[in-house]
Amino acid sequence: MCAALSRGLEQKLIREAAAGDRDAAGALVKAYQHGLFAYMVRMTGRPDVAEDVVQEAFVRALTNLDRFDTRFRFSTWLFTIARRLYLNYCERRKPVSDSSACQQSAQPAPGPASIAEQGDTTASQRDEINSALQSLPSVQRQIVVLFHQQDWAIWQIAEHLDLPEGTVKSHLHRGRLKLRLALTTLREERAAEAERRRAAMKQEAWS
Amino acid sequence: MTSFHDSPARGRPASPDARLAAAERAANEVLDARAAGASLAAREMLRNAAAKDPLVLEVMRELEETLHLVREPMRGTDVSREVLDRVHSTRPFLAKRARRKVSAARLVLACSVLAGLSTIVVLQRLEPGASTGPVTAALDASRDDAVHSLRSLASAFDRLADSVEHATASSAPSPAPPVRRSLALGDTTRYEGAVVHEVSTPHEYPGVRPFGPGPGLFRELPSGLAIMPGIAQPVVLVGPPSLLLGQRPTAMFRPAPPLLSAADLRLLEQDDERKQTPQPPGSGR
Repeated sequence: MCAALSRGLEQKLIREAAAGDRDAAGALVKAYQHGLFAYMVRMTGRPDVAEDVVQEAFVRALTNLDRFDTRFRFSTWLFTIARRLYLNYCERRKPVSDSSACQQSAQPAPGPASIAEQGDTTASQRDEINSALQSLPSVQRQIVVLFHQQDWAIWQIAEHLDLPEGTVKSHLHRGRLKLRLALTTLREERAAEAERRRAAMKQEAWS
Repeated sequence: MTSFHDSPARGRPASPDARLAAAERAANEVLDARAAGASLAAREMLRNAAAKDPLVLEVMRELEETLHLVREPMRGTDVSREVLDRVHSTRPFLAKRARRKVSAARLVLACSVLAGLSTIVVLQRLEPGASTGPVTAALDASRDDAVHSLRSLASAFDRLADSVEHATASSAPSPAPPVRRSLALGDTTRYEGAVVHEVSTPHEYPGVRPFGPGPGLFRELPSGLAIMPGIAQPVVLVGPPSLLLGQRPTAMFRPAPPLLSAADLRLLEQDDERKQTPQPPGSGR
């Protein structure tokens, strides 16, 4: 998703940014910021937190560009930094919320009324998928998002998460099915809630 | 992992849970095949699975819809300005001109180091004996140290051998002083001290320090050089290269072939004797 740069161009930009070129550093940020933001939104469920993590990840990556090993992709390194920042964020939030990967700290999905008010199908679907993703364990969520959103290969994810490829595959399978189930359940619950509200409104109108 | 085609068992109605699990497995396999780039194979798998159980199609549709939502593109706000400003405060960016200056300075530094090294090499080539560099000086010093320690080791052995000799001499009667024989043709005993011997028969010489290829410093010393107490000049030994310092000193010698053959020597000695024997008067020609 964020593989906008070819390997050669990416390395050239990294070299120039490490030498102190502001434009090259800016080009790197622009190339990867949206992909990283999308990943972090899926991980945190909160756009504001995602934006903070993205910003901090870029600052750390560009400040320590001399340490970057050019054998690897810049995106892998950047996503690793972002993932660590996100885990730190979860760790900080732990006393307040449950450890289930910050799922409690995620912004609560808007209720059916607010969705109806918005009248925006895409926004409601986005909220639904975010809520469904937050119901997954952290590892499964990361694997599903990296595979299906960022188009990473299984071996890349295995390297990134330091897990065997077989484990990644089985997490991916379970994650997909759990995600489907969570989304179906969420939709059913919302439909039932909307039905109850409609019935209550009808009753109010009659009385 | 069991394939969808293996379960449920044929001829037996599957429970709803088992049916759903099988459909989910099949859908996962189809998605994996599609992700691996085998679209045709994935389509074939889906067709086969759906022919057996239409629930697979429903699961597949729901999964695709879910994953489509996961893939939905998202664009956050542009954070590049904030990021670059923060980076600039800790690790300032440089203008193009300044970057060129830094590169030029690095180039000049590298060139000067290279030129310095080349000068040293050229000087050493022109005057190999002169110790111009610190590396050469250090090497020379270490070599001198090694030679000095070898000499002191040899002198210590000399002293030890002298003391042993002195102790034996005081207890045993002193042998008669060697009679220095006059130089005679074929008599090589006066020169044997400087003769280079070759090794053939095993013979032990107590106190001989063999200097052969050994560990560390001694590896570079000439093979077969030995210093024997009582003999001023070194003797060249030919022996096994495994002789090391500290081992029991052992050397094997074979006397060099005499300048004249034994028969010649006998004839010469007879001639000498004949000359020294007083001739009876009247025996001359």
